[in-house]
This record gives sequence, C-alpha cells and structure tokens, in this order.
Amino acid sequence: MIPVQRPYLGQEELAAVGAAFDSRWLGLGSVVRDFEQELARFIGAKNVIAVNTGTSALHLALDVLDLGPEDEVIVPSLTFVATIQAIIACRAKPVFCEVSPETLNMFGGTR
Amino acid sequence: MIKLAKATIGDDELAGIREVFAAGWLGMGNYTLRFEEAIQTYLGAKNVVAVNTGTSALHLALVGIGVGQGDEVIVPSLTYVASFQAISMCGAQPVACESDPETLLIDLDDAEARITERTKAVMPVHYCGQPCDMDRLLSWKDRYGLRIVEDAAHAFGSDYFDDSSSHRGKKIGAFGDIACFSFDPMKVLTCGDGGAIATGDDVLASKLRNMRLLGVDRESEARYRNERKWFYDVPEQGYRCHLNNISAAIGLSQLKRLGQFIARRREICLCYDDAFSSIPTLTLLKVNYLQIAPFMYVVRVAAETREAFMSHLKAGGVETGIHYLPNHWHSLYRSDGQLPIADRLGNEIVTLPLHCSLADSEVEHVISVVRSFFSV
Repeated sequence: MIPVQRPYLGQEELAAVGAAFDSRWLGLGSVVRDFEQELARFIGAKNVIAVNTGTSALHLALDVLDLGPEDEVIVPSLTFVATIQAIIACRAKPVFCEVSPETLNMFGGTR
Repeated sequence: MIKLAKATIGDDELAGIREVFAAGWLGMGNYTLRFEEAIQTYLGAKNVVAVNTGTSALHLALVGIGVGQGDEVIVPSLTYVASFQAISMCGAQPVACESDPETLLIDLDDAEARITERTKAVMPVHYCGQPCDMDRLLSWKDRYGLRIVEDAAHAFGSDYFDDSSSHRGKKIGAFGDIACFSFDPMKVLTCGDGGAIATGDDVLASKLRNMRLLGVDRESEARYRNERKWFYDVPEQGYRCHLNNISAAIGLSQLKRLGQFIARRREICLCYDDAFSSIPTLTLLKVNYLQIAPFMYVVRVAAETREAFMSHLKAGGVETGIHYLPNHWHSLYRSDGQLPIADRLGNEIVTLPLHCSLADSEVEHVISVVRSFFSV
C-alpha cells in the first residue's frame, strides 16, 4: 500500500537526538533556542516561540488575545478540527466561513 | 558541578527511536499502545491513557470529571505550579492547603477543613514518590462526593505500604481514583516528555482517549494501528495531548531498566540518610526510601541558613534546588488564606542531587560537602 503521507527522516535526525541525549538535558533548553533562531531566519520572522504542537501554537496565540464567551473567531469550516478546538478551548465562538473551490483557501487565488 | 538531576538515557532509547523512524509513523501509534499496555501491566492498573505531559494528564483528568468554572479543587501549596495551572486552566479555583512538615505530603486534616459545597476534587501530591494516605482520601469519595485526582508525577513505580490497608503492596495507579503520572526529562522514568493517567473508571478512560486527540471520536483505535480515520465526528471539546510513537519508544526502553533505576536511587538515598542522620540542624524527611521509587532527596535546614547552605554546596561543586516555592506566594494564586506551615517549609527545603548516573565517589563528595557546612 502506498501511504498518503510519510515522514522523511533518518540518520541525521537520529544523530541530533543522540547528541541531545548525550547532553543529558532533554527538556526546553539550548537546542530549542537554536531551533527558534534558525526558524526566525528561515521564515524571516521577527519573533519565533517554539511550542509542542500546532494546536498549542493556535491556542496560546488566541489565549493572549484574552478572548471570552462574547468573542467570535472566523475560521474556514474546511480545516482539521484542531483549528476549531483551539478556539473553543479559549471559550470563544468559532464562526465558519466558506472556502474557494479552486484553492480550498479562505479567499480565491493566492498571493 | 554535580548536577541535581539528570536523565539516564542513551543507546537503548536511540534504538527504539530508530525503529519508529523506520516504521515511518511518528505520531501516536502502535508504540503508544505498547507503552500503555506495558505500564498497565507494570502498575497492575485497570486503564492507562498515555498523554504528552504530566500537566496534560492532570488537566484532562479534571476536565474529564467535569471540573469547571465555579468549582474548587483542594491542593497542597507545596507542589510545582503545574498542579495549580491544571486546575485554573479548567476555570476552577485551586484552594491551597498545608503539608505535613515530616513528609511534605498533603496535610489531610487541613485539607478536610477546607472542603466546601463548591469542592469538586482533591489533588494530593505523592511528593518525592511517597504515597499519601489513600485510604482516608478515598473515604472522602462517599463522604463528601469528591473525586481524588492524584498528582502522581513523582510516584511512578512507588508501592502503597500502609500496613493497615487492604491496598497494601499495590502500586500507585493500581487502585485509588485517578492517578496522573509524568515522564518528563527529570523523572525516574522519562519519555523525553510524557505523561499517563491510570484509572479504574472505564467510562472516564474512554472519554480521556478521545479528549487527548482533539475529541475526535474513537481516533485512538485507528492510531493504535498507525492509521487515521478520514470520516469522523467530534462530539465534544478535546485537546492535542496524545503521546507520540517516538516518546513511547523511549518510555518502553526506559521501562526495561526501571528496576535498576529505582534500586540505584534507593541506594543513594540510604547513603544520604545514613550520613546525615547525626546532624542535629539538618532535618531529614521521614521516608522509608526502600518502599518508594525515590524521585528527589529533600532536606530541611533553618530558614536563615538556607542561602548560605546552598552557596556552600555550590562552591563545593554541588548543585541544589528548591522543590518548590509554595504556590500561594505566586501573584496568580495569592489569597488571604493563612498557610503558616507551607510558608515555613517553603523557606527551609533544599533538594540534593539524586540521579542514576551519580557515581559512588560523587555521592561521597556531596556528603562531605554537606557535612563540612555543619562542621561535622
């Protein structure tokens, strides 16, 4: 069976994990700082904060906006449920919108 | 510098990760299932749900039993802030209580006095791996209608040894209500990061299996086979806090050596106890380390000498720590409630190095640096 998706990784990543093991510091540490700096350069972003999942990233980003039960967040219905659950976790209300059939993005066309 | 805590991790765990890479399924999958089954057998627990951190375990457990806005949860002030954050994350109010100065375990008389009609649960902390008085706590389920959410972050592998209890000899997580474990990098057993919930409550367990995967109905069953469901319903709020295959593979490797880890930690604690018991101004915890899986070795010194004690050890190449600052000191959790015992303990406790890679000579060194502070 040809899988739909498959991660592409191997020796290089194992060696990096081995190096982290050797340092005996497995939690948030200097490698995380290096990763954030590399990401910021790669993306061209001003600030990068690494977290454990994409859902956590969405949740934390929404959380700092101090959303309450009165607040609404507009989100395409056609997304993984993580997007919606992050909004509900902040006690706000997701408001669904359509997507463009051509791109499946919120607006037609790309930029 | 002799480190306070250090993971014992290396080739065995790397071999496990290599297998997961080769299988090409890194997320929650068959290794997560194997890890859950292995710890279920090890603990003698009825249900085990693996998650990504001990904090997630506590959070999911609380949400799973319906703790929310307006509810109160009683918790010792002397615990890591994770216990408190898990409670306030649910919109509930953590109600801080005292700890017993001899063991640093929850003071159950004080906790009982703080029960109100809003109290939904009690969160005892099995500090350093010592079990709390579970018989008394479990009696509160019927008497007050409370749930007991055990913060067992420190206690994976500890036995319950109350002589008068019918649970004597069982492991923490094998009985009780809901036990929440942590497998963070400093713990006796680590997954890199990880956690698990052990419970005898089947309905809760199946709810938690959905909740850890964003509430996607029965997604766990597909993931256990390294698959995903493409048609699914989402009946309720969930969170992204499953344990992935990589972390589970690390945990499985660690579990094979857990007996060695615990034995070495016990040995070191006994050496410390033996060497320090004759120092009158150093207070040891009243713990039988042979009956627990010791996570930390904590002592108490007079509040006014603690800073000097810690500096002396640092100068001697020995790292120390404080586990923990009482949570009612933090700006988020400050309250009018009086907690004089926790206040005192918060100023007296010091943690000494305890991990499996400590050599005998390093243990001797820690002992001699400590003794030299007290001029003995």
